[in-house]
Amino acid sequence: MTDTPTINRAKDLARNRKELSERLKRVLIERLSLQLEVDEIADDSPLFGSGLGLDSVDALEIAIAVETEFGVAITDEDLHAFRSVNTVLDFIEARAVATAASQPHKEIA
Amino acid sequence: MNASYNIARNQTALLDLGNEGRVRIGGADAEQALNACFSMDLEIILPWKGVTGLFLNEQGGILAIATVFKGDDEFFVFTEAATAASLLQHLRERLSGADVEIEDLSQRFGWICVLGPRAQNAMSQFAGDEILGLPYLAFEENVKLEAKLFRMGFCGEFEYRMLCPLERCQEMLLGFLDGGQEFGVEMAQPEVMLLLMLEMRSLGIADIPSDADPIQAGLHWMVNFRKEAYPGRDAVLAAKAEPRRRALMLLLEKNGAAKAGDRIEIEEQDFGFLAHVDYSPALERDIALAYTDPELGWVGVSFRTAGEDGGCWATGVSAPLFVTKTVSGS
Repeated sequence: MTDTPTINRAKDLARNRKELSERLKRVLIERLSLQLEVDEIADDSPLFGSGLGLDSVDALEIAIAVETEFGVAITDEDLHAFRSVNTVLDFIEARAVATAASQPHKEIA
Repeated sequence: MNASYNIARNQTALLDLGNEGRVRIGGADAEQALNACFSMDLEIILPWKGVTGLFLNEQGGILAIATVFKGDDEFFVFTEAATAASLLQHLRERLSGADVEIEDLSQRFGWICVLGPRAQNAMSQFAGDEILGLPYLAFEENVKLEAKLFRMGFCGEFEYRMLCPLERCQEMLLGFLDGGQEFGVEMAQPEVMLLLMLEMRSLGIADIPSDADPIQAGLHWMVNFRKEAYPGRDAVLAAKAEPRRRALMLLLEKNGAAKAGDRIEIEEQDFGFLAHVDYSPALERDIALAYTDPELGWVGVSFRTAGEDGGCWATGVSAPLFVTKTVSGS
């Protein structure tokens, strides 16, 4: 731990993550026609099987939605990481950071 | 425990889950009576399929996590060992007066589990190739095994469970061990399930404080928010509107420096507590499930654990904590 966390810093991190999470949930609800509201999806809920009950066709729709809405490229291999809202968010954040690093003057979607 | 863990994550674990709860509900009122006290909607479940949900009290407190399978004219209710007796008692009380038969299957049937990245291949040998098409949360009457075969899984691995007559359990276990060497079948301790589940953020009742509701525990997916009536519904909807706590997985910076019950702080201000701490062999790090202030319980936020073991930094992480070999296919 290089920087000692502060409450204000923690609140900023939490706020940013919450905003991104709600944005992704809205995209999933709309694209997959889920009969759910944003606050009815937990961030660690399984996307497939017993959780939201999605299947392999939905996985492709999620990939397209994430590519379109968040401006990140996704390969078939990347889909293994799409296990929950949180793991999808990790993927988006990691790709956004990598993109920003390689293109320092480009705005992150 | 390490040996059991390695078998489950890398080979095929054979577990005798005889201590877990298993109940059959039959009778004319079975569906209506059981549905009335369960958080998911059993009326929309197709026969030979199952669903995982909750039995709640009127305050929204979680009495048991259970997976319920629907047969043609009966239901099978499975729960972990910790809630086996209490759920059976709860069902007997809640369903009294209805035209139902409640049978404690543990008196007649064992509960055997085959789990791991190679479990599907192993089971196709034991139970026939047709089980490759058995969907998740479905079951069948398996002719080859002469047992009901259920596909379940909360550990990120292929997982099959069998209701086997008690007098045949030992024979079945030995048969799997003898015939499953090609797939690395070995006995594993049932206690390893809690760690396997925690890594995938599947909770047991011990991970949930007695005053926590499904929203705090992040078990939204075990609640049908459109269902009009079940015990604790009003409390769950109120909790959804204004969560009091948030469960969050943490990755600890130092191993052995924290334990369940320790408080978590930022700038010496209290923001929650650790409910479950364990060592993840896959990550080679201590991991924890914490209940935090709802404003701060998000991935990326770091807390200081404050316990007798010296404490350490712990950072919110996403679950499941890693991709298993079953999922990646590697």
